[in-house]
Amino acid sequence: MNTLRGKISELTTSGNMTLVGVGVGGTRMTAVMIGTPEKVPYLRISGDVELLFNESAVSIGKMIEGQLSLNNQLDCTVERLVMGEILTQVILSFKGEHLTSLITTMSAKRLDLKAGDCVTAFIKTNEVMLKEPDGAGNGD
Amino acid sequence: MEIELSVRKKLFTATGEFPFAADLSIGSGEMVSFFGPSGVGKTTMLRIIAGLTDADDGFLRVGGETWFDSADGTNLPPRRRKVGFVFQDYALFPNMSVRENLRFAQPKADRRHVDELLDIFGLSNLQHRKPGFLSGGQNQRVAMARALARKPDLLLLDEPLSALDMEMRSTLQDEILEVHRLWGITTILVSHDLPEIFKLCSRVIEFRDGRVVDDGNPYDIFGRSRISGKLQFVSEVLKVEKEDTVDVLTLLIGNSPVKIAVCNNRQETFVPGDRALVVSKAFNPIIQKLNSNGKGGN
Repeated sequence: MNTLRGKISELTTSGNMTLVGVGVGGTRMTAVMIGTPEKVPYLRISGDVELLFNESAVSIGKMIEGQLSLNNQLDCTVERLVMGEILTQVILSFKGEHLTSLITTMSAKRLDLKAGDCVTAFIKTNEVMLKEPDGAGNGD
Repeated sequence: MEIELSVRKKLFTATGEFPFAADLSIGSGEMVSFFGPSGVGKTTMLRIIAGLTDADDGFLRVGGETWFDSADGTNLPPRRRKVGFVFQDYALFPNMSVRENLRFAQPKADRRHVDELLDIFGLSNLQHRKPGFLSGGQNQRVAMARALARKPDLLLLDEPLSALDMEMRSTLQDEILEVHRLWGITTILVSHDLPEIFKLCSRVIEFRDGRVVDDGNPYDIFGRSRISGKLQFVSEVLKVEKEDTVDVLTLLIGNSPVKIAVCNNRQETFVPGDRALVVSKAFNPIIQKLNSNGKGGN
């Protein structure tokens, strides 16, 4: 599981669903959840929040041009690769934080991924979970 | 019957002497679980309630009646406390038949109640057998029925199902629920089995280091998380296998083993016996309808 910390910058609610914009070190990320700020105390502007997403939810792009629907596009550097026969862990550095992407070894080879490569990590908005930071000292 | 208690007692264990203290209030008809590591005083608590062990200090009131009070020396003997107690080793009388075991537990013979219990626990056909001729599951049913034969105000269950296989456990859990639905007896269950606690109890009281450290519903106690994911299951890790660059965890969720692949570079590693929270977002599961509702072609 990947964890990033950020501050909530935007809350868009429709019915019982909320799109949450989170600033993570200058990059804007989004998560969508069922729940509203009235019912979920940590959903408030400027509130601290953790974003959680699985390694397998992180796709990797290299030299991407054109437009993609994904909101969460993080510019990263490849730190190292752990290649298995079928799956490869790509350990990424994003603004000093470590992220891991789990992709097929086939894709890792096709992209010719190497340590030091500049890549973009993509995470679909519906794959991002929010968590109130432990010891946040609020909303308890 | 509601239980109100405040007790202190010095416990002697393999690791030495430690003070045990608890202040609790359990509502009438509640089914609560005492949870915590071995040797923390859970069984001692049950024995204090049943009058089999005396507290050093404090009081115990059940349904408004004082059963124990160190201040004025009140201490009702066990036989005058209307308590049904079931242990892991059912402690039946080996020389008595099933029916005689039940009958013997009654202060006054109540044949109809014995028949009713034999029926609920599916023992009618075995009523003339002796415990030595019954399986573990059957004997535990007899122990349950015997505990209920005296129409107790409280039912104290000390890991009653822990020696049984999963299927037998599940059946007996259903029977415990049925009994609770029928008579609403205030019940305390000592158990280490999370699926069992979730199935049976609406409240968990967690003991550690000789005191109550947590008290709440099972989802709050075991599933405490501030994660937004909508599917959350508390599970127990059964097995961890390394496959390629991932670890495949076999988890027990309810009575079902499931497999989940996790990236193995994470800081926290899992070992069998760990408790783990499985979370998924409301958007992610794939749902397929199984019934065809007669909408053209089955």
